[in-house]
Amino acid sequence: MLIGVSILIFIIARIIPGDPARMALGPTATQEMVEQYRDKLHLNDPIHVQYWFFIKGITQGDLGESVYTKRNVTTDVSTYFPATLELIIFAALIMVCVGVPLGILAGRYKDKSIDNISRLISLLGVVTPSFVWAVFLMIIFAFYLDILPVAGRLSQDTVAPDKITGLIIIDSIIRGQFDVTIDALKHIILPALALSLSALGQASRLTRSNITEVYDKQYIEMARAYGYNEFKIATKYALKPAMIPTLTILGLDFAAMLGNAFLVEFVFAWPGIAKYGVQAILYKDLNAITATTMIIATFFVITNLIVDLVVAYLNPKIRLSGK
Amino acid sequence: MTLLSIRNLEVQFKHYEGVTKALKKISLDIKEGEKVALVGESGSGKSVTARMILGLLSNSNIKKNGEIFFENIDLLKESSSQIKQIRGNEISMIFQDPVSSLNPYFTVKKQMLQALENHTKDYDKNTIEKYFVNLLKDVKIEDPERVLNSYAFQLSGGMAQRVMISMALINNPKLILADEPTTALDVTVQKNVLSIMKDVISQKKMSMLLISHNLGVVREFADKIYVIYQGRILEEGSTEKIFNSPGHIYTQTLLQAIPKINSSKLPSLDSENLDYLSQPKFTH
Amino acid sequence: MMKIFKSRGWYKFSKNPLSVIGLLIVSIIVLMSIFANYLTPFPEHAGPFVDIPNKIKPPSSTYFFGTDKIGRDTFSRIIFGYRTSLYLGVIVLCIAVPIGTSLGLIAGYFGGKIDAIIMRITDIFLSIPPLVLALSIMAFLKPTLTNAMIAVSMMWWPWYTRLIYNLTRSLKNEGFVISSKIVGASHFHIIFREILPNCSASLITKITLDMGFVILIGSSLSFLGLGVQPPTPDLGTMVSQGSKYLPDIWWLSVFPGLAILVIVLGFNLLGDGLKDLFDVEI
Ligand SMILES: Nc1ncnc2c1ncn2[C@@H]1O[C@H](COP(=O)(O)OP(=O)(O)OP(=O)(O)O)[C@@H](O)[C@H]1O
Ligand SMILES: [Mg+2]
Repeated sequence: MLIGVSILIFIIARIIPGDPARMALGPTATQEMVEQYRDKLHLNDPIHVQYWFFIKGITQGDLGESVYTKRNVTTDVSTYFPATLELIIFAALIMVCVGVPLGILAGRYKDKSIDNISRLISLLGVVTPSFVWAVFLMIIFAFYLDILPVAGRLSQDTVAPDKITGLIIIDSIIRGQFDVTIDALKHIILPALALSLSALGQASRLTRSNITEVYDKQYIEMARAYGYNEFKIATKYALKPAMIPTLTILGLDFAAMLGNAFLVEFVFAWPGIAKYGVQAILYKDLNAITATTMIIATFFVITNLIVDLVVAYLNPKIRLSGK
Repeated sequence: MTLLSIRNLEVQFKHYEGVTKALKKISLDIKEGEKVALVGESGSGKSVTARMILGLLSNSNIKKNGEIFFENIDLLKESSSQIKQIRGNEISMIFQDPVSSLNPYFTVKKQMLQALENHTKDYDKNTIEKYFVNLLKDVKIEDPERVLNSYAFQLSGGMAQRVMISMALINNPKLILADEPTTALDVTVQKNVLSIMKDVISQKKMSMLLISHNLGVVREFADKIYVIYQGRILEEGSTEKIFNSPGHIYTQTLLQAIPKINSSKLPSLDSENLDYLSQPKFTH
Repeated sequence: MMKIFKSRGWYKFSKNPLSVIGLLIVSIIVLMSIFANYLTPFPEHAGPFVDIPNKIKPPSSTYFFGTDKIGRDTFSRIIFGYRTSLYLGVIVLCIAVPIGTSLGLIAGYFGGKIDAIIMRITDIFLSIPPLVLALSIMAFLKPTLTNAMIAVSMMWWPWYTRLIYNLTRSLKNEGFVISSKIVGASHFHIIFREILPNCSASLITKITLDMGFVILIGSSLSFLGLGVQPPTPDLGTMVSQGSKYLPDIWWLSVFPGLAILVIVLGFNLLGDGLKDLFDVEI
């Protein structure tokens, strides 16, 4: 999969119109400077040699230099991506912790007010782009109520903990700097909420329909006939069958957040991969585009893998047939 | 001693088009250790009767009247937590389709354990598996250890229904309700499962309400038979009397319709032309 | 035309207030953007217009939604922005629907190897989140409206392939298709005269729902500066530029943001209404 992606990126990157060297150096550069730069990027070599350099770079974790930041793109990506990852993970937590219970309640109390509320949320979530949510949330909570910070990952006078994972919340907990954790949490709430709202609606709608379906099953009536209490049924006996098909879709939603993270990061000046990626796209910064795409592809592959493993573990039908 | 006594039970379902009268003042008695059969065609109200006993039909579109006495307490008036204490403990139920009655995501053992834990928390963890194994052996399951660790989809229909029977026995209930327990099974295993069930229940001296649409099926099984038609009991009496001298024309029609082999096909009754309800209830 | 309003379907549709609201929103927006030159107070503000004395005016009876940093009327620009959005939506679907539909028909009707190849590619496209895919395509194109439309169309066709594929597979075994096969009708005839017309209700419903979502993705691209370029009025660009001036000049981002929400909501409600009306699964 990753190899396929790398080949695809390579091919597309080489056939796009426009000379990356010329773009990087700007219109004032002399032809000589451009040629030199092309040599440096191996753009004058035959195509298979170029691909060789490209693959060598990927395997060694060295994808060359960004023509825009003039730094190694691997370094760039490892600086920016953790911030995005932290945001996505937090948003996914909100999606699961709010969306799923909301869906369960809506499924249990169909056509009651909780169901209508959850339907309204999911409708609004689906029809509103996350950057618009970002603007609305910012106006309400950061300016009007003035209870949460406007931008960034940390306040200006807070020093980020020394890097372990790159996820500030986790790093600061590991290092015991809990004031930093709180500051980071305050900063992440709004962007994560903006990011999670559309996925949250979908998650609750999906959970609702799966729960409703499971509750019509014979084994739920049988559970009641054997004296299970409703709480146990809702949190375990019906939940597991309902959540297994839901999980796969939640995995997709989680991956889709990466796209929306681009939008939200812009509004909240979140120092993640979005700005870097968009700059790379605008400046046709080949190495940076490659690095960004590779990290996104890796993220997908890993997410899919985890979801598949979890589903296979939870679903005895898959687990046993695999043996 | 009468264990269960249904008195003038009336059940109505409200829906958009109006109301369905599912049960119209039915009365039914089950004595201790007695095996009673409730027989009637599809839609006559058999399942509703069984579900009413366990309080499984309790949404807002339902109107109920009458009494269901179980050991002198009226189940219809009990609080839901009280009913929960009875469910699976003093009265347990076996459903029509065994494979879909078992949760596909939990092992048999887990579900048996849960059925037990719903009613008692202090049991000996070391011997409990042995207890389950014995219960499974009682219903003639050859490899109980393997079955205990299986999921529903790994069991055949007959096997799953035997698991359900042993599940019903876990808490030593006084009464077992079996709603068409063999209809979903192959004709060849139907008889087998039925006789296993009869043996276990007689041996443990439990009472039973067997629901069926087939008089032939209940003949070797029940001590007493109730014939139900459109929510009304038309005839009641001992199995012998019902078969030898059926008093109601509907019962006579049912008897004529018994297929030679115990087929699961419904007897085709020409109920359009005959007004069975005009004849009063016949009690032997 | 009058027949529609007397039909049972229309009765069912009009019984649901949400569908009717959706229809109203969509028709009003479509009409306003078609006649934007006559209906907006300041049609000339759609272009590179400058009116420094009237810059940064809050909402008022002259400027319903206020003015921007160079004195342009936000309300007029939103209506013209709708025109851009609708234009994008129509073009994208005009490209994606025929491509997706024909691939779905071919794969579903003929089956076999060609089915496997087409559906495999479709699945790959579908497994990548839409915005990520559009971004990756934009990475290799110049940021213009045309290219944004190409990028969005590239990611949208697989949804139609999947939909039509499933429909075709079930229709293929229907009596009327089999009987026309028996009388020797050509593949062409069966596909376009027998199968395709039976997909039309699902297609229309999906197109309606998708209009909203295409507009949403398009506005996201231009929000990132990868789609429509100024001075062409576009809702995503307006939110993006307006959000720089929060909270003081809030109207520059709030109203265009609401405008996106309203149009996507409109198509969504209308599409849901059609779904009930035609009784189709999407
Ligand atoms: N939950 C319910 N809501 C509304 N009507 C119901 C409900 N359950 C049963 N009924 C109606 O009550 C009547 C009796 O149904 P019941 O299920 O008891 O029939 P049955 O004798 O068990 O038939 P079968 O042999 O098909 O299982 C039927 O007319 C049925 O439509
Ligand atoms: Mg029944």
